Amino acid sequence: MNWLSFVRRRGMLIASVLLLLLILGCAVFAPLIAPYAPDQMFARARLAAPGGDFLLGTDHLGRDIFTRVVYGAQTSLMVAVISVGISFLFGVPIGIVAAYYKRFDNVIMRAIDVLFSFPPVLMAIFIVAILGPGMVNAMIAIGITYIPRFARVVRSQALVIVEMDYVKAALSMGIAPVRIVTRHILPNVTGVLIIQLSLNFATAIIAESSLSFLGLGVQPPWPSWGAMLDQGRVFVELAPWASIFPGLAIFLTVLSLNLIGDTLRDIADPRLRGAA
Amino acid sequence: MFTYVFRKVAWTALVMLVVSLIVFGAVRLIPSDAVDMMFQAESGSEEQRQELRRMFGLDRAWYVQYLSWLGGILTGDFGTSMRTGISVGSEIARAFPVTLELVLLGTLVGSALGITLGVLAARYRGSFFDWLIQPLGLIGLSIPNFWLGSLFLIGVGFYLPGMRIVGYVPFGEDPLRNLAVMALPALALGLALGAAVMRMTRTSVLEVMQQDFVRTARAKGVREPTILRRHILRNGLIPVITVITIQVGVLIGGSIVLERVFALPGLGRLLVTAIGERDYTMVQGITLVISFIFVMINLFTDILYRVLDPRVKIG
Repeated sequence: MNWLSFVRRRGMLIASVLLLLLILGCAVFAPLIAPYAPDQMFARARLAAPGGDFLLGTDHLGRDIFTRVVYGAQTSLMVAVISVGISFLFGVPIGIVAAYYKRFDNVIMRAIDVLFSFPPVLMAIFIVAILGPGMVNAMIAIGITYIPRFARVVRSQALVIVEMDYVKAALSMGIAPVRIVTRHILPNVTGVLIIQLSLNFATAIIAESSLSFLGLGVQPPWPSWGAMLDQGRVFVELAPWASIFPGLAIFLTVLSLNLIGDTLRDIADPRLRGAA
Repeated sequence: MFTYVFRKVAWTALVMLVVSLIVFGAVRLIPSDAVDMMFQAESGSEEQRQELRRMFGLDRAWYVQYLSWLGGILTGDFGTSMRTGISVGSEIARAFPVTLELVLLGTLVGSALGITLGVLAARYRGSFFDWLIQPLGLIGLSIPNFWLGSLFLIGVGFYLPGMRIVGYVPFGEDPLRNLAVMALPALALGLALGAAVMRMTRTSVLEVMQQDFVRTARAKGVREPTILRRHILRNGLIPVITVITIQVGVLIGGSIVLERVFALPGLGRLLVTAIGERDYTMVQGITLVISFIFVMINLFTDILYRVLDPRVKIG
């Protein structure tokens, strides 16, 4: 790596961490940052252009788009944290059990192969179809959808570690499996898990906004970036700002998460630099 | 080779069977059945409900229902919608070509764009082009396709006012108009795939370029284009196929969402409408068909992988 690309990488990493902190700040301090309430309607200023009283314009009901984008950060981040949490809590143990207990490995991996034959967004949509549309069900659906990914990543990493001499030594000393997992296996999969977490956050945010865009996730009038894009869709020519800014928020959040994930992966394994 | 293909096809058939069981079983987890939902507004008597259940075959054991549903699908009969009374199969048959075309065009655009740019970036490593394309790749991966689609529509509305690019026309009716309508959706859909493919191609080609056999070929005096084609690309594109396979799943999911942006009458729109109407026969059918497309693409790339790379072991 020459110094120029090093500086650029460092700069982009710092920029994306700052951006993410800014979005997190918007979510936490939304009532302080936003000039209006998210469902406050200004009947005389419907589809008003950006500027003046409304920094990013208003939507078809005269609601301030800047306010709703700020509150939308709350929705997006909350849904992402909970759904990634679900994938993590189920995926990690499944992956470790598959790697540690060889007799379960085949069954678990075949089951995961079957789950992989649903395109991810389709699976989330299907689960929402069964549970019924809504924010909580969207979280559950997105969470379940990405369990196999965590399981697969953890398993492939843990398989290598299980074969290590120190694990074999611990086994021969008669140390309990639980202790081997917590002392030897988990610390060694933390690296890949952190990378997977940051990339999965990005995926979860896209999945949530996709579901909300289709009207299956967060329900109006609750502010969500995906739902805002859907409401702006009809007025895309009349009021492009109603589509541009919520999408920009999704894009910047996902971009910064992907950048962080990428950089972490480069640090963990320089051989993979730039790999997809 | 034959046993390999046979084993893959057999495994794929088994996977589809399990998928159909999951799709069928999951809908049965819903506490109220179709008859209950029909009577939600007006309260029919218990006898009327039983009569209807008998009519729809809902009183039979679950495996009998499953087998008759599956048997129907194998002969092209997806059942009739309990909400509208319309044949699910004919609705799916009408929407299927739209989604298939979108997915295929998106895959084509993405793969072509990604491989070309990736090879160029690797070939001119360290150049301005290479320097520029890497952040662009990350941006391409991070743009939600439905937002990109909206931006395209805004751009067209602004720069080419009066040009109508929405309103689907079947390919058989007017091929040129069909492609004109599908161009922007396919580009919006394919760009993320293109970014992923570009990144993988660049890495993989760079790695192969440093291999001994490339140096040997060059020392032997093999011409550069031949080295690129026969030695570098043949080996370098194999991991790219894996990325395409993984990303096609994402792309199919994206097409469901993108159909809404461009008002395309495909499976995605049908699915979302069916969910809104709680038309579960329809939801089952569409989910199964979309998974089928995906599984078939996977089967195809698995076999392609094997054809391209003799080193891949059966397994």
